[in-house]
Amino acid sequence: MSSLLLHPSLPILIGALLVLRLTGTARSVVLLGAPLISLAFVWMTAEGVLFSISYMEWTLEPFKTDKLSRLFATVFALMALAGNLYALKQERVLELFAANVYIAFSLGVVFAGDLITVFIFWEMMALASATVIFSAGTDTARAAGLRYLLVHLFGGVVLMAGIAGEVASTGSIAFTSMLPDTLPRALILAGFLLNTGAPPFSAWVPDSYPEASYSGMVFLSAFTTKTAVYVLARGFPGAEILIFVGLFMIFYGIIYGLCENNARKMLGYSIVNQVGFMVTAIGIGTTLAINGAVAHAFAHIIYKALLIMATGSVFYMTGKRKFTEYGGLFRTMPLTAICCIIGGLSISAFPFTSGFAAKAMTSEAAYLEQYYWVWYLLAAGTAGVFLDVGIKLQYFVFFGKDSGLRPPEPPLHMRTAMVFFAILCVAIGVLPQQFYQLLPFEQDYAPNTPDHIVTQFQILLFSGAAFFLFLKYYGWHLVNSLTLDFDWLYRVLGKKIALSLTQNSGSARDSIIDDLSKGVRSTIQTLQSRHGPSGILGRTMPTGRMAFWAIVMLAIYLLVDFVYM
Amino acid sequence: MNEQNNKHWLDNPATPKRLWLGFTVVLALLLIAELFVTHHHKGFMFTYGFSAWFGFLVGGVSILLSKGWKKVLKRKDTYYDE
Repeated sequence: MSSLLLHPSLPILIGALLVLRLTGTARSVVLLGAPLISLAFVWMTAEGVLFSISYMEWTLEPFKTDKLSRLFATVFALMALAGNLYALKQERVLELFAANVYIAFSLGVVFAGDLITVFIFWEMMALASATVIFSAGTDTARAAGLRYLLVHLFGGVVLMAGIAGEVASTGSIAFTSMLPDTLPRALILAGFLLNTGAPPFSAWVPDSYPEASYSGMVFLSAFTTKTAVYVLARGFPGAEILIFVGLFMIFYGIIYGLCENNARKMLGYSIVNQVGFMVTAIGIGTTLAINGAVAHAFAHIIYKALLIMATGSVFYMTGKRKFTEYGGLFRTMPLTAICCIIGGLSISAFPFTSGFAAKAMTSEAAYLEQYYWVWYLLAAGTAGVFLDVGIKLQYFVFFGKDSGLRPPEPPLHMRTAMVFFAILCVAIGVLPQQFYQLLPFEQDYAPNTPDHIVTQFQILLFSGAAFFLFLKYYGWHLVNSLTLDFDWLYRVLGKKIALSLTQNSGSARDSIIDDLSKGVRSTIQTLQSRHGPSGILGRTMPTGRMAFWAIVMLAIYLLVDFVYM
Repeated sequence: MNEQNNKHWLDNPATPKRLWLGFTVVLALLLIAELFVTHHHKGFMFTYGFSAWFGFLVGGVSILLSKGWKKVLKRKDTYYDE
């Protein structure tokens, strides 16, 4: 039991509860202290099963540690720290509470040693993260949060069905590496994939996350998709279908990102794109590829949070979120611009940034496994990300046409959070070997070789040259519009089907109710004619008759009494 | 704050031209630098200049593709509110 007290979820969960009560400095201390204690717990605990409990005929293992879970827990705790710092002055206490509970549950998934524990925390994460979206308080956030919740609860049902089938057929709840070779396992994989933003449910990410508050989206970007990467890396390494799913996600994210006019929504698309790299790597499945996937997840949480913090700062200071409303903000927000650019360079895998150190392993693994076509597509994907987040985002927000907006820099705590993560992005890129020591498998891969650096610069900068050339030539411009996506299926088509069902079933229901009510009415009429006030069995009788019959009965009684006594 | 302080060097009308010039020099330097490095792997993707033209191609194709995609699937941004 005592080992359970060292579970890294606990400090953050307790912190979340305290935040509901505390204000001012005490609240800040809890918000920043809890993640630090959690981080200490992550590194104090030994590897192995630290706590288990009997439940029906199974043994649950809610606290099991190894290098993989420790890597994810480390970046989750760092994210909690920076996220809480960024959201330090967030007035909506509900958001801070929900976000920290959400982080605690994500840590619950990461330390779960069996499928039932995974499932329980998985579902609780969905509820907590939906609350983060709801807590933005706007009508659009409520609607988006509801759609988010429905998609995730559906995913939960699929996952539950898979786990139940797996337990029924194998009798084991162990969460170990498997392949999607049976229906239950395919369902488990589908349930996991839904949370990565895989097709056909990719749209939930860009649909819901941007509707959260400026700080809410920072939390959301880190945990749901990355716990999904974690469970895939543990559960399905080498499942070949993931290569195709991942590559689809990469290009889906790029094309939709280039079409998108809402800066925050575009970052949502680029989450799907980035997770696509990780899913592809898990599909390749060698130790180098898995290292690549989880290193990418680690680096991604940091630079994506940095990007969302920077655009969130712009959103917070201007109240606007569309590229068509931005432009020229570098004048008054230089620090935010620099942080955003560092995030943009990292996500584009520029040499000497964290993205380069991480993504390079996946390409190398694809090459070594002779998946040459995958190698080409990954290279193309890298160039595409650079166009999206490396250039388009930076150019239209901070440079480009001057919008006339002159917002000041965000408050100190938000700037500090951004600088902290910007430093981490560069540190990981400059010292990749130290970073690689955190990875689950031993390897001797060095990313910063001269040939690799030169070719990476070439691929990025030449694609950038194409962007700026075509920018002019094709009259590329952003317009106030949206691009139809998978969510059309449930927001328009599904709604139409549901409405027509309601109308058709409505008339059927009306006629049934009509028939029923006729029957009921006639029954009531019959009853009324017999038992009603004027009915033969219900009518009231005159008092005289009552008195007469009472006298008769008394007389009979007297008579009987007289005869037999 | 007076007008003088508001002027940023990026606002100078000559700047875009200079940036293009600098950018072109960097691209040329990258192509030159590749002459002096040895590739660790073999294959078409590691032939001289591959990354340069491949990157350029991807940049162009991505933009054309997204333009076409947008043309087909573009809707008013109030589409879902109706």
